[in-house]
This record gives sequence, structure tokens and C-alpha cells, in this order.
Amino acid sequence: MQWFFDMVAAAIYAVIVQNLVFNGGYGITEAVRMASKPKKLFSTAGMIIYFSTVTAVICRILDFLPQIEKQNNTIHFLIFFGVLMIVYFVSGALSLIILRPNKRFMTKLSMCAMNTLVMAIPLINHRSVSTLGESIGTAFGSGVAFVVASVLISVGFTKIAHNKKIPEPFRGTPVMFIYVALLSMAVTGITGTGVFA
Amino acid sequence: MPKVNKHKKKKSTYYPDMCFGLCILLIVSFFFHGINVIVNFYVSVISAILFDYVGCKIIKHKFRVKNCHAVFIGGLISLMLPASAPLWLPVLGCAFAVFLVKTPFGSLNHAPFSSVAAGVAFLSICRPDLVFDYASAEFGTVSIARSLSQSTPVVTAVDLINAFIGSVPGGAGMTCAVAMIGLLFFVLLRHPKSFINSFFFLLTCFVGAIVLTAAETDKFFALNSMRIILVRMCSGYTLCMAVFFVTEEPLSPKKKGRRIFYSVMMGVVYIILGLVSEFEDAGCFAVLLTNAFWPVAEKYIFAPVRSKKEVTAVESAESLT
Amino acid sequence: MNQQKASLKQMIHQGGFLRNPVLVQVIGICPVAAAATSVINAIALSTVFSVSLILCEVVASLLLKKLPRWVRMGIYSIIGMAVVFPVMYVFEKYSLTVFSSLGIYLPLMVMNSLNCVHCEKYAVKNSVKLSFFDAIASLLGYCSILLAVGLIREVVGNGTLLGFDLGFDGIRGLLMPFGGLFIIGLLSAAHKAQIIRRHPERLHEIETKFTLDEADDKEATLSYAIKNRFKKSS
Repeated sequence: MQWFFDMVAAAIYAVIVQNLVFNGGYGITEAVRMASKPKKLFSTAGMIIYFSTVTAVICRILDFLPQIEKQNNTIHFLIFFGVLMIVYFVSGALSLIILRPNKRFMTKLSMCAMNTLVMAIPLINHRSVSTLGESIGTAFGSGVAFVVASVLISVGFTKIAHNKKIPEPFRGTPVMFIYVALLSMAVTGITGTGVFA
Repeated sequence: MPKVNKHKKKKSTYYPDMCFGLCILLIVSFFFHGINVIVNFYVSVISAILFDYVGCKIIKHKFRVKNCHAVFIGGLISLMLPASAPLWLPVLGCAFAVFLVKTPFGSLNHAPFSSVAAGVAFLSICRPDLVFDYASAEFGTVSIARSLSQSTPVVTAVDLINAFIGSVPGGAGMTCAVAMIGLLFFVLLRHPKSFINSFFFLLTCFVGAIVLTAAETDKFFALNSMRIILVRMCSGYTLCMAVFFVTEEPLSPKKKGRRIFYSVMMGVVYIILGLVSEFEDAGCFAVLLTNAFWPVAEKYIFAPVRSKKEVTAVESAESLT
Repeated sequence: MNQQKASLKQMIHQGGFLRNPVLVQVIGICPVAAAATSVINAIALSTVFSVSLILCEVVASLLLKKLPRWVRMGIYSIIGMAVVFPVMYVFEKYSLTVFSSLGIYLPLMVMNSLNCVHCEKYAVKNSVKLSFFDAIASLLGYCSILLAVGLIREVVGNGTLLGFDLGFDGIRGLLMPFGGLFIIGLLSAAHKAQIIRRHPERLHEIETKFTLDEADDKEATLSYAIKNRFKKSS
């Protein structure tokens, strides 16, 4: 039962306290892109949660093997990357066989898998020596945190888009960056200045 | 004979009134902290006006000093910092508030975040050692700035009378509860609608203080518990937020129900941040987070209700025809 | 020859300045916002990026045109890994300071969206030479921003330049990711102001398009794929 509580606590921590998108900048490009297409947000987030959770779990299990545990950071990363690639290609192949989707779905799948947020989670779990439950919780929570970040950015954009007073040089991308920066700064109030590595 | 426009928009007196409130706080803080506060205040206000002027020139907007927003930014930032703060600290806060929060969004009515809260939050992140430098001879390193979440033994060490008159460590203009309560009455008289925000924010904080006190001491209605609750309410940025932040006109919603929701939301975020944040007082972050989440709440909580009402109104109109 | 020179110049102007990858296309923000906290870090990131992108674009243009897109995307990451892995290995062995200051952002560069977007939008549709030019143009734009952000953050945020103390306390907030985003925002505004002043007729070109495909990507959702599958089977 302990692993379940670890998982829930880690998930809550990842969503509320350690929003990786705002505090680490992981997956911020995708979050901003998703913010301009709010209707597709949950589908994308679902894929991100899937890849991050599956990869994190496999990586953490491998991490417990003594042969892998004693390796240095670089080798660990190589292994994690290999796991992600296998998960990606297997998922891609399976969805091709089962769903026979169109090209756009496969493009979306690859954009979600080839994401800094997805790759960051196994590395963070490895650094913080998480348990298996915590690893699952962090991976799932980070996906949800991605949704939170995208929704916040998206709703903010809608409001900013109606603002006719924004000076011409700031209109569009520049004011979006500043808005995201202010959101990120606000979230620092919860996280503190320590968690951004 | 010149035509008189009957529908001319009435100019808001919110910021001038708030600046008047800041002057009262300045006098009170001068009494407790000496000339340093006045110097900080004037340097901060002048720099805010200057930055606002430069910002308006850069974006080619008309510079208006009469709306008093720049004075409000400079004055409030300086009064939220401790009296011992170096001169450059409020200047840096003002530069951030004006150039990165106000100017990019065009005008004060359109900035999605409170400029002052963003300025102080930025300073809190950059130099927490200077922003929360509240150590005093009487209290040592003990600070009651972390108002609502401070553990009971620390709050018990503070004398209620001192907390009321402002003889406690804290931001230069933030400690005197009597002055703040006076300003709340001033808000009630001048901006009764904004007072709804203050009232519900304080009510939320009060409930939070009761719950936190009850969680630590078993007695709910003991005299000592009441004293602790009052000290909690008087300390930190709590009253300042009730007067200056939760009422801020351009950011506050206009309808009554939404005002209440907004104020309660800010209160809840403030209490939670008090418990989890590493900062001594995370009031400014609470304001920023409320500003960030409010559009989401407005979109997903209030907008569906409104559209439902509109649909029923259209249906009833159709049934009539 | 002259035409080729002109086209390279045009591509650098177009890809590096007018449609700057960071300031206009909003690609590869993570390393710029979070990891470029000093000039040394920015140089290290720029070097790895440069090798990785050039290699990716050349390989994509030469060998990957006939593969499906989703397979190509995986291969870009593997190429990125082939570049990043030796660099990581060398840094971990010989320069632990840079290795630890870059944190996990160095390995995360294999997942850089700059590689995917540029290879997919340009390399797989053009010749090797043009893809190489495109890589050079985008790299000039990307690395210049990376270096500018690193320089500003090191000087203003840390009060040092190339590790030497400048004699004042920096504004530490700028070293955090939000500080990087603020600097990118201001640089983006300055960039747009320049375009308004110098090329007002090309202002529409810098409007950001966030999709790989320009069409609406409703068909990219899982629900659409499942519905479609059931339709086909029925």
C-alpha cells in the first residue's frame, strides 16, 4: 500500500509544487504550441502522459538492476534514451497495426514522444532516487502539470488577443513570452527557488 | 456653445485614493522606522514615474501621471519592503513592475498581473535576504511576517497591542494594523464595491486562521486562541492585500458574485502559500497566482453558467413568440 | 556561383533573422530559457546543437526522404544522441563543472524540436546543399540568441563575465527559467521592432505558425483515429 501513497503524493507534488513546464522549462515549446490549439490539448496531453509514464516505469525498474545502477550518468542516459526509443517505435507500430491511423496522428505521436518533458522524467527520477511508486506518480503528475500549464497559457492568450492596446513591437510572440515568464514566476512562489535543475 | 458629452466616461479615482492611503501609511511608518522610510518612498516613487515615462515614450503611448498608477507602484513597493532595504531595491522592483509587467501590455487597465505584486515577487526571488530582513532587537530572528501559517508558539510570543499599533517586525508600511483598518473604512466609504473584495478576502483569512489555530491548539473559543487568531490577521501582508491588492480595480471582476469568488480564491491561495512556500511572506505570489488562475475560473466556471442562462433566455423568448 | 551566394545570403537573412527559430518560430525554448545561464554554457550548447542539426539535416536530405515521417522523427533523435553522447562522456570525464552546470539539459538536447521541425519542413523536401544552407542559417539565428541570453544572464544575473567577477551582485532571478523567458521576450520585441522599422512589408512573414502541417490537425487526435478505425471495420 505504501507504493500507492508514494505515487499519489509524488503526483500531487508534481502537479502543484513542481510544475516542470514552468519551473524547469521542460516541454515549454509544446505547451506554447498546444496553447494555440486548446481543443487538441487533452489528446496531446494523453499521449505525453502515456509516454512519460511507461518510459519512467521501465527506466526505474532497470535502474534497480545492480549492473545498471553502478553505471555513471552518461550511460544511464543512454539506457533511458534506448528505452524511450523502444517504447516509441513499439507504440508507433502497434497503433499502425491496430488503429491504422492517418499521417497526422502519427506525426502528433512522434511530437509527443520526442519531447524534453518525456525524457526529463526518467532522469529526474534517477537523480532524486525515487521509488517505483514515486516514479509513476511523478510521470503522471508531470503530464497533468503539462495540461495545467497549457490551459493557463491558452486562457491567458485568449485574453491577451483581445487587448488592442498592446504596442506593436510586443504584439504576438513577445508578449506571449512575457506572459509565460510571469506565470512561471508566479509558480515559483509555490516551488521556491531550489527546484529547477 | 460647446457640446457637452453626457455619456463621458467617469474617471476612476481608485489609484489617487490608494495613493492617499499610502501617504497615511508613510506617516505611520515614519513614526516607527524613521527618515529611511521617507527616503526610500520618494526615491521609489520618482523612479517609478521616470520608468513609466520612459516606457510610454518607448511604446509611443501618452504619458499620464494623473492616474497615479506609477505613484501607486513606487509607493507600495517601497512600503512593502523593510525599512532597512537599500535604495536600489525598490528602484529595481519599480523597473521590473513598469518595464516587464505594465509596458508590454499597453496600459494599466490591460495588464493581466498586478504590477506591484510582480515587482515585489521578483525582488523576493532575487534577494529574499533583503526583502525579508525583519530581524529586530525585540524579536531577534523571529518574524511574524508569515502571518497565517506561523506556528502558534511564535504567534503567542507577539503582543497583541504591539501587533495592532505596528511595533513589530515587517514591511515598513505593513505592520500598523490600526492604520490598515482605518484604510479599510476609507475603501468602504470611497469604493463600496471594492470593499466586498476586502471583506470576503478577510473573512477567508479569518476562517483560515481559526482552522490553523484550532489544528494546533485544541481550544476553539479560548481567549488565548482568539488573541492568536487576531495576531495572525494583523501580521504580514494580510491587511495590505485586503486594502491594496484584492481591490485593485483593473484586475478585479466587476460583478458581485465574481468579486466574492475572486476574493475567496485569493484568500485560499494566500493561506495555502503561507503553509507551503519557502518565502517568509508569499502574499505577492498569491496575488500573481490568483491573477493567473482567475481567467481560467472565469472561463470554465462562470462562462458556462452565463451561456446556459443565455440559452434559457432565448428559449423563453422563442416560446413567447 | 553568384546566384548560390545570393541564395545563401537570403537564406541566412530569412532563416536566421526574419524567421528566427527562437524569437519567431518559438522552437527549442527549453535550453535557451533554462540552461543558457552563462556564456560557457551557451557556447557548449551551441556547439552541440550545430553539429547535431547539420548532421540531421544532411542525413535527412540524403537518406530519409522515403521513410514515413514518424520513423524519421525517431531517427533524428538517434542522430542527436550520436552527437550528444560522446560530448556528455567527455564532459563527465574531463569537465565536471560544465557537466554539472548544464544539468540534465545537455542530454535533453537530443529531443530538441529544432532538429525535428527543420528536417521535416526543409531537409526532406530539398537537396543536400540547400539543407546544409538551411541548417547554417537556422543555427546562426539560434546560436546568436543562445549566446545573447547566456551573456545577459551571466553579466546581469550573476555579476560575472566568463567566470570573472565584475564587482556587483547580480539579479539572481534572471538565472531561473522565468528570467530566461523574460530576456527572450524582450529580445523578441526588439527583433520585431527592427522588422517594423526595416522591413514593414514583411511583417506578415513573422506571424508564428505552430503546426508542422498547416491544415487543421483534428485528424491527429486519438478519438478520431479510433472512430475512423471502427468506420473502416464496419
